[in-house]
Amino acid sequence: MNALNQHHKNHTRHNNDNENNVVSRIDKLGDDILLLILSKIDSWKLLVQCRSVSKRWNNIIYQPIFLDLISLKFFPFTLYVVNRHKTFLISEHPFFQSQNPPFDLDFHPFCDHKYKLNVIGSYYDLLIYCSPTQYFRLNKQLYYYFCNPITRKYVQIEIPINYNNDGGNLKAIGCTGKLEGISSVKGEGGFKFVRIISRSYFSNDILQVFSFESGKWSTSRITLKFDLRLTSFHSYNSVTVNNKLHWLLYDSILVIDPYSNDISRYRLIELPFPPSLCTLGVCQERLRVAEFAYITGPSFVTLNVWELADYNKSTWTIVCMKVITTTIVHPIIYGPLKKRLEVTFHPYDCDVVYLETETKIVRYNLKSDTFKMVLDEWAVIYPLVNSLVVA
Amino acid sequence: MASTSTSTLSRKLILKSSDGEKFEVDENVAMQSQTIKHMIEDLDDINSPIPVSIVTGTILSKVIEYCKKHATEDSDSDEQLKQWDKEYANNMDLNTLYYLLLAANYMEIKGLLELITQCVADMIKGKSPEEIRAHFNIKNDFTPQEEANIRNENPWAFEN
Repeated sequence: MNALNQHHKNHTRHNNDNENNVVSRIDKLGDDILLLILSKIDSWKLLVQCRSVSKRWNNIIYQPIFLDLISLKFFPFTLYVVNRHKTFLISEHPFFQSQNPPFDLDFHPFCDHKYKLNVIGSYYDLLIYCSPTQYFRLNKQLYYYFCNPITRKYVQIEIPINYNNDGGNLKAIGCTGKLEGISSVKGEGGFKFVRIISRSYFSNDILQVFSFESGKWSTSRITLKFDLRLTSFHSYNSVTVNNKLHWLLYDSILVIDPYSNDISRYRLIELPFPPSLCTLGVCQERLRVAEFAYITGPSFVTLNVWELADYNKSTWTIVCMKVITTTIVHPIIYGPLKKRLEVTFHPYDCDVVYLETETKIVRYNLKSDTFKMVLDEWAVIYPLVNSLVVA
Repeated sequence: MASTSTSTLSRKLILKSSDGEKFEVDENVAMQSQTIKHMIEDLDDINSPIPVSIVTGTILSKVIEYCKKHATEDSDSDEQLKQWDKEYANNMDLNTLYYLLLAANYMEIKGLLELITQCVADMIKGKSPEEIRAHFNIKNDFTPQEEANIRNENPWAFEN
């Protein structure tokens, strides 16, 4: 074939004349083949970029059959951001982009305007929240709710009355497994909700598991050498990887397997650095820890990101070491960093983290060293990953 | 049917490309193609050449190279076969890849189709929309406004 031979000889990427003479053969391929090629792409971000290549690419990527095909591979990331007054959404998901933020839980039948529901955590595509704390004083039954904010389906479970949710004695929560009928993302095994509470300073912690298969709570005691870090959301909402729960302790990570026969038997994964400020997270199904230190006063901070390379052997590798200037030179993150700096890892994009300071939320690209202001106020981030196809 | 497959192993078939080139191949090599498999079932005389009407000789020889490698069982480990696939695909220029895609699709060779689509998808990775257009020589048929709309709807996707 002539065109083939000609292209063979003349194919140099810098020669524009020749490039223009060659007909785009990728456009000659049938829709079914192009669809097959695009379905091999493993990043939602790249696919959204591909929409702007041409009208044909845009049409293929946006048709339901394509979204169905890729929806099991990855889930767009959403930051559900809550502060004292408002809810903000920063989302890659087409559904949330079509909503007008603030997006509240006001569809919820138990939500009245007098008392607010308390968001306490998130797990894949589920938000976890509980009855308003005022209900305790009003002697009403308290519930935990597990809600998919896209489908607006939810389930509720009663909070056992002997260990209430009031005050500071709820130490940690976490989920494992798949909540059938509500959650539309992956997860294996029956859904379990775990919480750690303490009744007094001197007694052991209480570990309670609600199994959605049996519909029952079970209670056991747990003794930890060091206390759970209780500085923020990140410390009490577990990071779930390999269907196990992970929380930060002083110098290690507490691992609890809610499917084991004796769940009070826990494992500790040692941190690769001496005790310091740090946050636990997950990226591409691997545990990550962000570690901070101040060098010379509050104007520089070092940010080191570690990844647990081998889960069973507890071996860590360092992903990056950064020095961030927090002076006026960096107006975006300028401000008091001293007391609070938390990191939310993007669950798929290894280069992206969200920094939460006392006064703002900033998106930070580890590779290009670039910052972008997300929100200019204090708030708490609840990470969500929702399925592309809304059932 | 195990009893017949052993006896057909040594049988030879002749494939004829669109430009008249003839290739003699073992039947089990040709049977990697679902299309040819169905054609043989309907064929009384397997000695006459089987036309592969849209595939040129150059491309057909490459398709046969792939099928031969994947027809001989047990000789290579999965790891070795993957490595072979990788080198095979990397040695093709873009134009050959397009023709191979068309051939694999027409001849219904699932493994080859998977391999080449993955190879093209890997070329898309790490490129901006502009670089994708340049690499595949695709015309941007959006108006500037339409293109801006897509970007503005999804600003996060176009950030660093």
